[in-house]
Amino acid sequence: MSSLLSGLRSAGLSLGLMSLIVGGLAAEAAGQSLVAGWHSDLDEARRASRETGKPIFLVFRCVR
Amino acid sequence: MRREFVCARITQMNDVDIARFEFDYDTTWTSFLLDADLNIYSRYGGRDENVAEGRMSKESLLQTMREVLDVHAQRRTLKEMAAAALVHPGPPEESRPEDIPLLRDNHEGCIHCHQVQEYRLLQAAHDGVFNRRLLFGYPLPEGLGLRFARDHGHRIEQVEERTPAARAGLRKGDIVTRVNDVPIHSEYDFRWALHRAPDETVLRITVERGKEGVDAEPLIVEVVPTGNWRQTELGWRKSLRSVPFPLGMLGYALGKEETRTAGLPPDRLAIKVLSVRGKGLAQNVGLEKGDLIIGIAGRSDARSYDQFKSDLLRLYEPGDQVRLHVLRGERELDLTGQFPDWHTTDTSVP
Repeated sequence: MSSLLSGLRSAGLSLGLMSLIVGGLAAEAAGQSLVAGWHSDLDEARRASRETGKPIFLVFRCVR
Repeated sequence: MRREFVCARITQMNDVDIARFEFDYDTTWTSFLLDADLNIYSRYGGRDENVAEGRMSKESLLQTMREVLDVHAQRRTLKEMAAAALVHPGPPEESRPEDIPLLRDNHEGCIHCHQVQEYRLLQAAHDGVFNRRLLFGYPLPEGLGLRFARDHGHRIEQVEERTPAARAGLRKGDIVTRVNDVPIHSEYDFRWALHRAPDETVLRITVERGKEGVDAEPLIVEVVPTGNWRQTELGWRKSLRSVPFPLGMLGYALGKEETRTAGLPPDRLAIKVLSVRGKGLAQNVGLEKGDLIIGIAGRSDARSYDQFKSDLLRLYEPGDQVRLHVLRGERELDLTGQFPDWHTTDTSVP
């Protein structure tokens, strides 16, 4: 969790924006890995999108 | 709101279709809102020279997400052509970073976003097709004379007088919904539409005018960009180091104390020349080791070393006469010399 937050901060994102992106996920994950709720494979996300009918929110967060 | 979307995160550019997922690769965070068939509803992100998050806010991201949910639902009820008009134009064919020959031949491992842009610049230089236009991507709305509300993203907050936006009749409060064939749900959508527009162009901008969501009539205005509307500060960009610009010197910007010690006001441009090496701009204008550059084309406000390089690239191109004001010992000199041809011997990016 702290490493993800520091990563987002190093990417220059505000606390407000970070909380929007990771906040809901933190509650949802409830003890699970924070990154688990985010697909790291676009094809997987597309399958999930087809199954659920939801659009995809795809983030490119380059890690330097 | 997040639960209304399938979320995905990509942290490297290997094998990414950069023709479809085209964005400003000097930035470290960008997002796309799309459907399962990779039709892009909106791009969200972008930055300027000040701070990485200066063009984003929680409120504007939520605004974009709400609008995308509406469009996503609406498209299901539309026929193919009408549905297609609600998404960003797609590329004619795929393209990947590994298709750039210099990157493919010289790079191993993780490909960072900025490296895509750097290899593009190097490749263009090696192919003899480099031009300044490649440096000034994703123009800011201010280049047309307007500024968007930060808490909304595409509602006009301010229109400067005597600018292309003002001449076209755009007003504070207008919500921009389309630029040419690009639907707009964020400031980054607007910048992408400008990015892909030709240099000599008339932008057809659709706005909703009136109370938001109520009696808002679509109105199309034509904006004629003028001057250096694409140009933005380059100093923050990592790709600046890969611009095929033979400056031919090493130097640094003096700090405020050092500037004062040199007998100059602390807000004065003060670039110290540490060495002049090889063919390049420094040799062309006659700079010498120890010179202090205190003016460029009549301007003298304090700049970092990278901002100084950015100024040179914004003001001049090959063949132009560069004008520098220099302090050499006790003497002030005006030096002029030719801006060199684009050239680099680099074939890889650090």
